[in-house]
Amino acid sequence: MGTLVMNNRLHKEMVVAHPTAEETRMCGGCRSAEVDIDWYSVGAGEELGDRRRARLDLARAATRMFALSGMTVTADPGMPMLAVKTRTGATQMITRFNALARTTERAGKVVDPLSDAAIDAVQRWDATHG
Amino acid sequence: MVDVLIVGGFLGAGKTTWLANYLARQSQRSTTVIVNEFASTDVDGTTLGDIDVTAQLRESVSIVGGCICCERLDELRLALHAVVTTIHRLGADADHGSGDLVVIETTGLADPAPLIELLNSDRLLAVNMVLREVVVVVDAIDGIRHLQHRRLARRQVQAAGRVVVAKADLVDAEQLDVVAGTVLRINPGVPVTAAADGIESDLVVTDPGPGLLAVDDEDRDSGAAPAAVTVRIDPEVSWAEYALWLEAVTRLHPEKFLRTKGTVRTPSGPLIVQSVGSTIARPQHTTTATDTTMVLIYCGIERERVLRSLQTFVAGVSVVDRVELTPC
Repeated sequence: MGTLVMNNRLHKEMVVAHPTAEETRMCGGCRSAEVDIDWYSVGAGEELGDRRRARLDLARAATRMFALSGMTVTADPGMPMLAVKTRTGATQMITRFNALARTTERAGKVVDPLSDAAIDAVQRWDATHG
Repeated sequence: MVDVLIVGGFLGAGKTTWLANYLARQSQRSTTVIVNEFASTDVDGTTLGDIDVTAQLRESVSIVGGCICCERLDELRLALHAVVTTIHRLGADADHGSGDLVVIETTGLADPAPLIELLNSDRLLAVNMVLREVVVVVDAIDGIRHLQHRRLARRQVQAAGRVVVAKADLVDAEQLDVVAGTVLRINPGVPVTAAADGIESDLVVTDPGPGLLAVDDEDRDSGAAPAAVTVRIDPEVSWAEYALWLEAVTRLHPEKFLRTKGTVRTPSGPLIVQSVGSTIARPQHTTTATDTTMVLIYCGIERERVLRSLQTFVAGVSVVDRVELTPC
């Protein structure tokens, strides 16, 4: 996705989840195409307030999920994007749900939800944050 | 005679989407649909129920909790007997249009061969029903991978009278050629068509080539036998938590999470959410779902690990039932 200029365009792009050519890429293992759509936004609701709440929910849930890696995700109510921050403070702004996983991969902070370490980290996070 | 159509294809290939469009074109026929689900929740029945095809349906029968090609074969036999009985009871006065039709939609883990054998060997069925076609749906995106790594997927194609390459609009012509070439290598001469969003059209194969079939089966040992678990998702569950968990496990373990499907309540209403391998389909709003359950079909991983992960990362999930299966 390129840099987004207008809020209403961003709003539309987070609601509409049709893959573009550049979002269709190949799987390195099996060479099968993988379609990349922002499917989370389908359940977010249509109103601007719904989208804001969805971003806040996503930021909180992502921070909890990434507890093992120490990455945090925040959503400024006035900004239609998420800030993904590493422990050292390196920050990346993202506009799409799918970009979360790619951002953690690029940072070398992939969290596998099936691993005991990730599960334990979330349980500790819950004990601390309620 | 009652015409029978068997619809098969691997998990998430697009069988139900194709079937919904097929049924919409059968307005002149009195049709009974038998839908089989590996798990105990009839997600495909819900999907079909959301599509306006009910006017043509005489009856929709769900056989859940196992596969009709093996452990639920007797249930299928009884269901087909019931169809024959109903048609005889209605007699010649009934308006059958251009004839009665029974459509059997299998699970993605079913081998069509035992179903064909049943229709031929059962005396009541043999004299009252005729198998018109076995349609096998192959996923244009993931189909090659399944055909390379899953013996069952190849057996399905071998049994096909026609192969429909679904999601054809999501790949380019070159990929379609490779899929068609691979299908023709497994089942030479079988008619191959394409479908986009369930709407079927002729497949213009520019150069089928030899296809891809360097086989490396992942389902050859019993440790990789698929299993399913049905979970109930509390209506108050966080959509974000579920979405993040599903995105992560399907992205990191596409070979283990074969298929997930079910209904989740979200801020915009109930959604049917489905995944196959690493591909998560665009969720669809539903008006007919009465329950928020999710079916997870997985292999090569312990059930306890799946549940521990899901219940930790997504608060408000409880187990409904579990099904294990020996490979068909």
